[in-house]
Amino acid sequence: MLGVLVGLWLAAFYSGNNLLYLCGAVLTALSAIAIWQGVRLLKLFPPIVGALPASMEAGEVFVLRKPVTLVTEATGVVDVKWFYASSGIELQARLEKSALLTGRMQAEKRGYHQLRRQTLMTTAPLGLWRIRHIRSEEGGWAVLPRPVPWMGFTSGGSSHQRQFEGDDLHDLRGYVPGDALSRIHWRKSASEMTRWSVKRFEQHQQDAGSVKLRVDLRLPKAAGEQAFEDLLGRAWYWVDSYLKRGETTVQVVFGDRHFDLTSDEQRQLFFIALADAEPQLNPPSDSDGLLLSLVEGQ
Amino acid sequence: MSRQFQVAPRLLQAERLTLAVLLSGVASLALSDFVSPFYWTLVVLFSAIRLWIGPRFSLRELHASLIGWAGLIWVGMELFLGRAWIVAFTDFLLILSLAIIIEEATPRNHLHRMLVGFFLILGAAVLTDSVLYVLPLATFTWFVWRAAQCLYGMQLRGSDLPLSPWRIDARIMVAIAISTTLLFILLPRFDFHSYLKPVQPRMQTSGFSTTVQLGDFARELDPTVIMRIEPVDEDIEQFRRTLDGRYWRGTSLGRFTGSGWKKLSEKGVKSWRQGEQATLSEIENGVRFAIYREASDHRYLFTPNGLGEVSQLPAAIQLGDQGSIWFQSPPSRRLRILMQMEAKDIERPWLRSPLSQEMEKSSIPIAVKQWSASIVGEAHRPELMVARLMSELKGWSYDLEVDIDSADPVGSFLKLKRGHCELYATALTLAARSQGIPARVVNGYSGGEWNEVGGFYLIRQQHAHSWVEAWIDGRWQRFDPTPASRWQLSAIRFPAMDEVWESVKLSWYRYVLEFQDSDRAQTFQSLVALFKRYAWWLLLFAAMGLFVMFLSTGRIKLPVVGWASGLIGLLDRWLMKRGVTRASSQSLRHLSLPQGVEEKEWKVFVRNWEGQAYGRAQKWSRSDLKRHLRALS
Repeated sequence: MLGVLVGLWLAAFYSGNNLLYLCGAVLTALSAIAIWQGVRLLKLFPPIVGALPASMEAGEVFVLRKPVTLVTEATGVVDVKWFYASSGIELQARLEKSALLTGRMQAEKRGYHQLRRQTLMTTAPLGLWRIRHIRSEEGGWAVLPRPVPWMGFTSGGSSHQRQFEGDDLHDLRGYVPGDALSRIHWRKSASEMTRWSVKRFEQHQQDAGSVKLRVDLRLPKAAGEQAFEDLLGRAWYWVDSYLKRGETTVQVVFGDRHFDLTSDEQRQLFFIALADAEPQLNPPSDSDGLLLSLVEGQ
Repeated sequence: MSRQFQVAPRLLQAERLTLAVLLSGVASLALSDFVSPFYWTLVVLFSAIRLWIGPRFSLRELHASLIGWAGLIWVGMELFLGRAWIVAFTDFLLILSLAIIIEEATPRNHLHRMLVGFFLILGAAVLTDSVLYVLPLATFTWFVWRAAQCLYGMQLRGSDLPLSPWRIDARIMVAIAISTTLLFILLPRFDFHSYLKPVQPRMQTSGFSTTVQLGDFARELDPTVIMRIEPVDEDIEQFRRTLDGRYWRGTSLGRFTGSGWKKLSEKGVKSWRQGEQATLSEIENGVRFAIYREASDHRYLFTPNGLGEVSQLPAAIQLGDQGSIWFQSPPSRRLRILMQMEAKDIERPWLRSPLSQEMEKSSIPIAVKQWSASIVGEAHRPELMVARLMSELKGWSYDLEVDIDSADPVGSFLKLKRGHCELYATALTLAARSQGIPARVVNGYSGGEWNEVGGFYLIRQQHAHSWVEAWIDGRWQRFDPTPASRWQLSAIRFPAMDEVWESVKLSWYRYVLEFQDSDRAQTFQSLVALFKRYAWWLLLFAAMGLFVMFLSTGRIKLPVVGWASGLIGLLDRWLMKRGVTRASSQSLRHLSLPQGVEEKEWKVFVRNWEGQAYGRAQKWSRSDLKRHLRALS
């Protein structure tokens, strides 16, 4: 395209033919407006931090498909690269009357990634010019540890279900690992194989109360890094199990920090703490609740 | 030709759009007189069939390319058989277009159509200078924009990205038009060469060749435009007064053949190169004007009596010793030439004294000699003799349809006492010669038609005229024996629409085709003057426009941008009132706390906002957002 423009202008300058000037001016204006449209599209591209998942697990593949609000009426596709320390997230936004942000996100390692520099790229609206815009949009991406199922806790998983045996069906909830097969509502689950439904009974609802987990973040010298990851995985498995049920007040003492996961904000802070956790020297504060620890004798 | 295959809807849309791009190019080329109507009619016909039947009416790419190659061979043969290269070239472009139109609908075919359409538009820029060129150029721009969008959408995943709404594209077209105008005006001109200048077919004339038969030149009321004359200075009235009734000299004819005239060889006395200024006489208070001379098969530059200067010469000219001014060869395109003239006639010292041929009596018919002797009578002074002859001739009838005996046209004319200006001029010239006064016929144009709309003179072929120059008192003097009724015939007015159309054409020549570096400052001055003159009206219209936009949309949009600010705009304005300025890419959760808002409430608001913006919560309307903001305040 650039070659065509240069050739056309050379012919116009060489000949002094004003109709060639007119053609050159039209083509240049068309290109300039297309570029301006692309630049404007990228400049007005909305922030997407809210469209990202609050958290995801290491190794998990998250298929993002979220609408974002457009501040501009435009048509085109924007490629988004959002960089953090060592890598980046690649997404694509398809803009029509509304915008749909899509992408496939995967992180191998646990961690809390501070997202800062964002590269937006498009060839809209004509596909002739590639426009790149770098902007800073702050965001965080909490990659949680891989959940490590465990059955040894007193008030979670299958043990929880053993406590609440009622006669009247209250409602259905999603299956979590550890649920008894007898609790699965097979008829409902038959239509949706990816998500099983588990029956909850009246007494279950009535008896729902408050649970607490204390996570000791100390790492004994003999234990390796993987042990620490497993510890965090167990903690996440426990919390996730309760959060999916949604009926219980969940509190977590994470090292020296306390989180009441009833609040969205606290939950978000916990995800960040979990993703960003490092071994500590001090035992967890507080004393009651279920303790998860690698330190023997607790 | 009618193979069955499935075509995706988006491909079908691209098919129509790219066909429109190609047809815009064909339409622009069809404006050129060098293009064979057969070929572009064929292209249009096949386009119509393709549109009617759809992509099923197609040839495989290989077969279509064979048509292109056959076209190349055919055009080669045309050249070999003596067809003009410019015509053969346009023939080839159109055959190529035909092949591409019936090529199977593939993305590559669409690209071919866009490229060929573009080359046709460029080719037409050289092969035509019609004002109508702007129409295919505009449609080309529109369809290129839409087609490129469509092809862009096709290459993406899913291939179903819709085109942007036409109202947005219409605004973009306005922006393109404004940008194009600015670029056109601002970019400098470097006229290194002229091969790529727009060419036009040369008009065929008969009054300026070596031999002119009586009745060939000024016998038809032909409305074909010969030249347009527009004032350069602002005093229109003076311009009209000065140019009204001028004689525009072409060439003189000195040797009578019995049925017509032959030119005598004219010697150049002075020449000027391209870009120079030709000064014929010093001018004190002259009138300046610009002539737009149409391309013609003769090389003469028509000059009015009283001409003092010719400037901005587009090509070299030469001044002859008989008073003619000519180019080295007939120009192949329209020329703009600046002139300056006095209200009164000027001395022309470069004109030579009469040659023997201009006094020669042997070829004068007996009837003329007898007639002139009877009219002149006892008069001895040349002025008196010519005056008597003129007086007699002016009392006769002007008749373009007179049945003149071609074997003895002058005798026949004297008998009938009616005829056209060539006969009057010939009769006076021969009569003067028979009385011993050197004389010759001059062919050119006289009068003209004032265009009220554009404020310029238009000289058409129907203003062609012949008059007489006689050598009296040691100088050549002009005499016009044609009766006054001649001017009533040539002053036929054309409908008002024709005036508008001619005015549009002159504006096209003036402001587009002949726009030069020197016109830039003048254009800005004109714009400023126009703005000053109509500033109040412009402001009034702008205010009304804004008011209507406000009423119709509830907010004022930027005219070109045209993108809605939406909820974010409302929110940003609210934030700014509370001391927070948000960058376009900044999310709410990273903003500082707006003044006068509780932190907890703000966090709830942000969560709700993100829920409706990014999540599954119901989208807010403007009233919803206002309600939430009121709750915050």
